[in-house]
Amino acid sequence: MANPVLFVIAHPDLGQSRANRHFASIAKSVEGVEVLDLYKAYPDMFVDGSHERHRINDKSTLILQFPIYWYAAPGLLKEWIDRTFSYGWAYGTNGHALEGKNLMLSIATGSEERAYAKGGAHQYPLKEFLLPYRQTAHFCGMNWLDPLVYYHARASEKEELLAHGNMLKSRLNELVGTPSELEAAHGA
Amino acid sequence: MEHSFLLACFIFLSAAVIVVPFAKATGLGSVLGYLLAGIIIGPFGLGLVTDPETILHFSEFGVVMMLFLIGLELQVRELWSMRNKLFGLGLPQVLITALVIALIGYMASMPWQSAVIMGLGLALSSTAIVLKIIEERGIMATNTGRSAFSVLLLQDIAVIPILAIIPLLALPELVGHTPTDDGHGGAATAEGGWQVAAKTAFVFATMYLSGRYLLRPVMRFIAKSGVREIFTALSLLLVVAAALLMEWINVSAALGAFMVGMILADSEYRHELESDIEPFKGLLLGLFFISVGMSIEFGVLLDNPVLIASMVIGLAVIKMVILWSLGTIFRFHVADRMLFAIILAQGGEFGFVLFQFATASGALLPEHADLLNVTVAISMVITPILILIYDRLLSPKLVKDNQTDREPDDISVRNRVIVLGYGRFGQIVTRLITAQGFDATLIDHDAEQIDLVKRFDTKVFFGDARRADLLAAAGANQAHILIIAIHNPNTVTEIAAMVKKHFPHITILARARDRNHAHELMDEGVTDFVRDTFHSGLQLGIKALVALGYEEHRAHRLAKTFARHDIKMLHEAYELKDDMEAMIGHARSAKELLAQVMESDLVDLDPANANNWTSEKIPDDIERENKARSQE
Repeated sequence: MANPVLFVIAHPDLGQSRANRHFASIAKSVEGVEVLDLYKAYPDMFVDGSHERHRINDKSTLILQFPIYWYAAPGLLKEWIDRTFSYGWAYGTNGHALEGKNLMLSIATGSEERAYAKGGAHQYPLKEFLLPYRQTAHFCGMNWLDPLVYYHARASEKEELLAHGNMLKSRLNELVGTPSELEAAHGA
Repeated sequence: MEHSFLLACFIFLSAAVIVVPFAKATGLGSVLGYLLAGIIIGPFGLGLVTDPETILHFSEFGVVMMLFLIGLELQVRELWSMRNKLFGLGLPQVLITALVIALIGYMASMPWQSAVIMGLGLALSSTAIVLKIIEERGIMATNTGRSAFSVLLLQDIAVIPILAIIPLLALPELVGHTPTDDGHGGAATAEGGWQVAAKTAFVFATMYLSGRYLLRPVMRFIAKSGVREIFTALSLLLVVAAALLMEWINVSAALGAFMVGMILADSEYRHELESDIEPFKGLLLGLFFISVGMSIEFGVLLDNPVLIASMVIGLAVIKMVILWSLGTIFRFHVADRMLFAIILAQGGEFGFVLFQFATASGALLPEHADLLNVTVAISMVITPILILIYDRLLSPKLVKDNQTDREPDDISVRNRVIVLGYGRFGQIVTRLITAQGFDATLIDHDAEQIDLVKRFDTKVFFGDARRADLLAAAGANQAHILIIAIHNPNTVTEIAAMVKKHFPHITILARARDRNHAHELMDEGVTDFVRDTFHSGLQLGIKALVALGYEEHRAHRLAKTFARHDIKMLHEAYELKDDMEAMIGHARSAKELLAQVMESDLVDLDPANANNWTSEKIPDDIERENKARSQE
């Protein structure tokens, strides 16, 4: 297996996002991680589902890196999931391709953590907004890993960004080193 | 000349052909090569040519052409933006240098009139040598290049008032035997002031008006005729006419050519003019350097070796100190300052003219003029040597230390995008790019098309884009991308191959006609191409599907799937292009594959599969869901 981890980055304007750009460069620096810049690969929002399924087949972990736009991922990531997680592959009859693979979200938000709480601007904890992704993982038989969240991305200090980047890096290193449950079970 | 014309040509050309490449290869630079060739064949070398003055006079026309070309490159508003450097760097350089040298002359018991002329004459640098070096190093767009050019330009302008005041500086004891019929300046003073003014105003007005309104229709007419050498003839005629007009009003021909060039700088024929004049300029300038080499009077040098050596060194040191100080005031980086000081630290060809004229006007003793001419000639020879020393010894240290704070190149001088072919295709590409604020240099070879788009305020240059020299004149050395939007596929391929060879740094984006042409372009290493009717065909296909009852989005998606498949097949077929059988087989299987690909894309989100989500049909999913819930 060439690259056990697929790191999908979904940001329509990566040049403008310091945090997402930094995390993408960290992902690129780790051996065993394939980085897919979604808006670069599909600038016209046309997602080639079968090509993406091939890409995922030999991976043990999927990481989705994105900013929160209106309480969800940017549109193209949803389109990517819609086109890629198809019947007979991700779910339904013979749809077992994702079973046992890990899914982890790596998220950057504009607001501070306290805005995601009762009485804050967004009323609910971020975790609740991530429910569709969590359920998608469960529905497809994937292992849900704790999301990595970087709050208040634009206003943060450089040191914080570097520290978070290091955290991401060590997570990636672990994931590259650890085969998924399924492979462990098959003794691969 | 005692030799026949052909023999003289043979001597000059062989000297250049033998010595210059050798000088260039050993790192001495072409200017030094020409000068050496001149010394070798001159009266004090092998003595093959004995009449350097005639040739010097003839070849000075190379300097005129060079100034014409510089004028072409410089629009009036660019000149305006240089005003600080012209008057801040150029004027003090001339005045201070002249003053210092004149004082030294006066203290060495020269008559004050002659001392002033010596100061003014030696303050001028050599436009020919300096610009040739700037061009060879490709630093015209840098701070050093622009600053040096500003100084040279101001010096060229200064020649006019200097020539005007020389007759006033005539020495009383020489006036008696001044040859009255010699020199054009003498004639000028004989006329009344208002006559001169009227003549000058008339000439400049004529030049400006004809440059603006008369030349364009003429050039268009000639361009339409399609006879290329006539356009070249016209280009030469323009320069010669400008020089003649200027001579008539006693202004330096070089300055006149510069002004005509500037008037034509915003004309659509600018790049064509540039590439036509360029080879003539190059050869004549070479000839000019050779004649400077030949005209060094080694007799005078041998009689006064110490005096001349100290004059040459003194001249270089005084000039360098003054230039260095000016560079410091203008806050040049130390490496730039050094180059700026070295590059301009010589006497110039206008010095020869001034000293000759001053002798004729009785303002300078002939023996002084001889000494000064030799000094200027030698100082011209040592400039390339000093540059060599700078490159080998000084610059590596200076540049290494301060590489980060060097001034960035002035990219505004050149556009980053060149578009070849401004027809229906090129216009669409260009409008998209220029709407983002990029400047594009547009080139087309159809004079009527150029006229047509001019009505919409679009500037398109006339020229044959298959010529490397034309592309160089259009700035291909500095450009980032080159868009070939020409209709004829053979021309597109030819240009792509030529550009890959001469300007390998440029990204080529090409218009391909069809599949075969796309393969030809791939042969040339072009990877960014679009078949010119492919996408418009697809767009109409989408409309057809919609008319047939497909939803808009579905139709778009099918077209997109088709396009991706087709482009993939294009690249696959390229691998097989030498095997006709295999290619036909590939085309057949590609057709079948297309049906499959399009069907598989339908399946992904097909509403027919919507019942997949109803729980009865997929018990294992419910089971899995339950399992997931119980984990929470």
